[in-house]
Amino acid sequence: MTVDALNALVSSAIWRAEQLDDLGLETAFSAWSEVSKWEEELAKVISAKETEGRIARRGAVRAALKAKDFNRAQNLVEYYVAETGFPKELGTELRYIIKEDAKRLSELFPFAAKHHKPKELQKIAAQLLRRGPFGLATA
Amino acid sequence: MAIESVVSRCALIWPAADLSSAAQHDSKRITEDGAEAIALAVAHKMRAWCVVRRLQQGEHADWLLEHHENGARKLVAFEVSGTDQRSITDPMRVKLAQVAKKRDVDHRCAGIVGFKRPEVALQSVKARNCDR
Repeated sequence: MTVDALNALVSSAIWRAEQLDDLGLETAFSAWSEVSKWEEELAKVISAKETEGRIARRGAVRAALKAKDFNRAQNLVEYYVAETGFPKELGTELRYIIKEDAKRLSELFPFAAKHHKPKELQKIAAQLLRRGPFGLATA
Repeated sequence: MAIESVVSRCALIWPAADLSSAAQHDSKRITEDGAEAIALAVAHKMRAWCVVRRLQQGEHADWLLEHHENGARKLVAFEVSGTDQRSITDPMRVKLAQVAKKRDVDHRCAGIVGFKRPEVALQSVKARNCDR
């Protein structure tokens, strides 16, 4: 697939995800998941040394977090940081994105944050999304 | 934040519409989508900028655009807003401050579309040496 085609696909996927987010619909999570996949495809074909490559890598991580797929976000960061010639400052940015999301989650669930580490909190939030509150109770 | 003094401004003309017939629509969404369509069209018409892709929140701009200058490809971070207020000066200041945070592009620009008095303005943040 060409970069132009990927740019068109990621643009419409972002637009859809934003609309669903605004409406507060649960399908927004899968829409953000789709965004993350298209950003990842762009990151595969554009080097991290280029502006658009950096945008795609940040985008893949951000969208994975919005999809509440914390493992994917963390794995993407680790994968990107290990790339040859990966810009150091981009690594710092990607880790900051993850850290900020964990902070936001702690503010959202202050009680859980008192008893769990940020990583555990992310795991619980993902379980809650996947299996609902009863699924969480039986976990 | 250094702002370029040149503002590209143009008046817009469209047929009057009865907004009560659009009562079921989300007015915020209509304003935002309308502003984006108009601002992108004006950016292309006035500056020959073309859309590369939409940007996610956190990138300090809504769109990544491109143009060619002396044969070299240049990237533009473009932040867009629409307003129902009488003046577009205040939203312009806010959007310029936002897009000024965007790094590693050649140009940073804000486009504001006014719907009360139909008009559009594009204004850029001055480039820094460390931008790319």
